Amino acid sequence: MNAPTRPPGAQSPSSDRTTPYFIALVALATLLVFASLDVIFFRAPVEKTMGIVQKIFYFHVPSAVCMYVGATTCFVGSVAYLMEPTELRDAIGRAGAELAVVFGIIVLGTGSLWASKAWGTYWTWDPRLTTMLLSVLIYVAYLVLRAFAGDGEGERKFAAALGVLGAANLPIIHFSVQKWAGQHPTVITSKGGGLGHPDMKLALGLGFAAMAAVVVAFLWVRVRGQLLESRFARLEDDALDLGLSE
Amino acid sequence: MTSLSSFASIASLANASSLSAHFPGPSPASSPESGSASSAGSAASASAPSTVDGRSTAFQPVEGGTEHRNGETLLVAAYAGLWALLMIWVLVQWTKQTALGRRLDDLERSIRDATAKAESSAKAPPGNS
Repeated sequence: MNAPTRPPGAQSPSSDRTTPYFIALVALATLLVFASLDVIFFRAPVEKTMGIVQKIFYFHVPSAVCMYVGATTCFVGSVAYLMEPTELRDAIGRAGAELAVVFGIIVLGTGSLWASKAWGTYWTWDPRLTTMLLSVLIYVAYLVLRAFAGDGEGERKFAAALGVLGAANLPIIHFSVQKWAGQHPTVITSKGGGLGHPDMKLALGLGFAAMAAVVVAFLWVRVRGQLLESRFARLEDDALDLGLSE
Repeated sequence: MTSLSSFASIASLANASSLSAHFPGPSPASSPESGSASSAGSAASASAPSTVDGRSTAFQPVEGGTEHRNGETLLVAAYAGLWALLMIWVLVQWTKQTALGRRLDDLERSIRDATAKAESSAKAPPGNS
């Protein structure tokens, strides 16, 4: 019978020291979101061909970048977990997968609205759309596995391998337009991009900044939640060992 | 006295013309539907207060008036409200996690005490229990 010990990587999430920083981050994210809404709807001009629908772009592209951030976080947490399993690394991988699913669905939803205006259909099997859908489905599989297949070491490692596999799809999504000549537009390129007005660039920049702050806040709160869940499960096991619980 | 009253009548006419310039529309005298307009006008004048004091304190409803609210502002307000609610929800999650963490701290302490007690009773000689 051993006294409960905190495993390596499992920090106490109940610490109040980080609360002011988190509140400051959420306040910053809120301000940036309000500022981006103001610039997108009141300052950025309406686009000549697409009309008001073009403003979806300022939400769609930052959401796609947030999806990449979530997937990359899942990849980093998964690789780190496979190298040396800790609760923190597992929590980072899982939170990253959650964000990849949430922002992936936002990207697919806003993209479908755009496609309805631009192509006359909500969905087409364009290479970028298809690879993006595939990527979201991989992270959905990750979360389903974690939710229903138990929380043992084997399940965690299997999910971590899935997290690594999901990240392998990211460069395919990114370069699919160039390699397979899909319909998806490439507005932002290495040659400077196709945003003709300075306020359009400002709107996109603010959109990136706002979504970056939002994704960091979401990631932080979800990692903390996962750590609490892991800690609760460990304490439950300790109570069972002591005969305090059935 | 006569000149004063004629001056007042000219001034009232001038006011009426300047009002019609600010609010263009068919006047009862010039409109082709002067008959119906005048009858509607008489109906309105029957309900409208006739004294100066009455006119300044009574508000007459206008049917079919133009909408002055900007739809774009309402759209942005709706978006901002949704985002604000989402951020408040995230903060609520954080405070709930903090409270849960404190409860888990207590639980961890209790389990540690119970483990220590069980270990000390197991190590103690049989007569000392």
